[in-house]
Amino acid sequence: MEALQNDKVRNRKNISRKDGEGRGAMESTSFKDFHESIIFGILVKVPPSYVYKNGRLVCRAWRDLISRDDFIVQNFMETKAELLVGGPTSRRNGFFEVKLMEVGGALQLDCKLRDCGLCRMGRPRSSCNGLLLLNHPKKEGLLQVMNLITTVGLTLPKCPSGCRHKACGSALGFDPNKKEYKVIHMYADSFGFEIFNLAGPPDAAWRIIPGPWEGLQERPYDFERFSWSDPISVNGRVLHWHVASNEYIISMDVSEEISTKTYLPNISEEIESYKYTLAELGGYLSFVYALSDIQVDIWILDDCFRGQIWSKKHSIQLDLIKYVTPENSLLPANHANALPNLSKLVAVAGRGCDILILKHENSCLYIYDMKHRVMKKFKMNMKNPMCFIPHRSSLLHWRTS
Amino acid sequence: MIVLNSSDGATFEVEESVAVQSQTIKHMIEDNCADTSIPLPNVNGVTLARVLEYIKKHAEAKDDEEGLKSFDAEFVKVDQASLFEIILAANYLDIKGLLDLTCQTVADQIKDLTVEEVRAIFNIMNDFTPEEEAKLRNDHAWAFE
Repeated sequence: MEALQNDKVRNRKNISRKDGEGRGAMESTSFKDFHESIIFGILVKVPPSYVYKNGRLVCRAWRDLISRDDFIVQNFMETKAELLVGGPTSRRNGFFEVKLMEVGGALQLDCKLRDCGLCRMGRPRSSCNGLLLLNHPKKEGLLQVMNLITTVGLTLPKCPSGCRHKACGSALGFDPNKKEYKVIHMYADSFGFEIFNLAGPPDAAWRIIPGPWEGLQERPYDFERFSWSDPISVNGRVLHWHVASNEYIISMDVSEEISTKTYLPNISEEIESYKYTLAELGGYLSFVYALSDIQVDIWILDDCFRGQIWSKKHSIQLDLIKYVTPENSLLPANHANALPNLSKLVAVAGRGCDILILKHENSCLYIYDMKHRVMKKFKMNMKNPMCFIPHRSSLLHWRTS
Repeated sequence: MIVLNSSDGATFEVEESVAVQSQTIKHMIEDNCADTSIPLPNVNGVTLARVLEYIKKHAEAKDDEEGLKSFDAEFVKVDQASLFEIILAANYLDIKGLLDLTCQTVADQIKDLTVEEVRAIFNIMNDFTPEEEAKLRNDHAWAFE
């Protein structure tokens, strides 16, 4: 920053000025455009939160550039995948604190939690292209869709099923054919799936399509104990729900709106539904099965609509793990080095193709790198983290083309 | 071998296979404008030398991902003015890898700066009225439709 004054003098000669005083043989009009394409090229690589908070304030030209649809879309393409972590702030109200977690650094295992700029909001449910689906923090039974950075949002009408959104499975998805965002909600499967198109007219209503099963006896789950949970979203195009079945999960293509059974892989033993979780990994659905205290297998679904082919991607084996102690651990070495009992870990999210984030019952997170078999513990500064949603920041509006 | 002439009269020789990393030079060669030498009136000698250093390294060490990564990291450790010169040159010469690298470097620098500091670097004047500026700064309320 000290060199700024000198650079300012040098830059006057070399960087374009708006009056077109350019360099060498360049035309003044083409020079101005040329300059804008370079600013575009630089700004698209800046994280959207900074672009929005500071970039817009630099000058009118930058403010206008940043509002362009082509800029917003390109800027989104360059953002990194993060994990949105949310936990309730208290048991009495519907407010959640939400932070964004980056996984990076050497060995790709260092985690950094940062604030998302909003001190509290309702329970986050799902993220798609930077847009978040959440529970309304104050009015029970209402959902909202909001861009986390611009805070431009929309409150959805109440669901016809009367769901209070405390025990249901909802997600925000994107239909690439019609280029529109939809919220897909499931509360009571005999009632059906409820779908809301975000780009509809102001008085639009939820549409209802049939649930996945025809008769009550077809349900795989125990009626007394089951409630729907938020599905795993793969690229915002396909949703997969865990239905406590030993044989299949329910999948839906956001564009087609038809629910199908996706049969689980043939693993070496009988599947027990409480031993597996689903997570998104590198753009695919993964099935993470805790075989025992010392082994967890990870399977990837290659295509659920054309063949349902699963392949076993990795096997986490306790004795092969290289455990990395957290740097700021105050506990004695042998305690901090204790590897967790693998069956007590629940996979909550993937990061890229090779990293799995697992949560222990005691709320600690373990980051596991499949390529190098390295595991690292991450203790978060959050009271009771319960939502882990893959998220990529953007400035997109649900009407941006 | 291709001969390149910078704006300030410096001459550089480079292998054609290396030079074609620049789409601009590639098209000039294809259009037969390159019989004796290629004039580059928009790039000065110092900058052209740096750009050639980049494309030479990327041609010879093509498959060494780790090596190129550390080369790139060192390559961008220059002062602001030189970095902007390289960006302009990479843009004019249409060398995608170099343009992406240098734009990313500037992007990483500005994301930690204040609005005033960004204006200083790009030599931009604040053309907002106080009302416009206030409106933008306060645009953080929950804007619900």
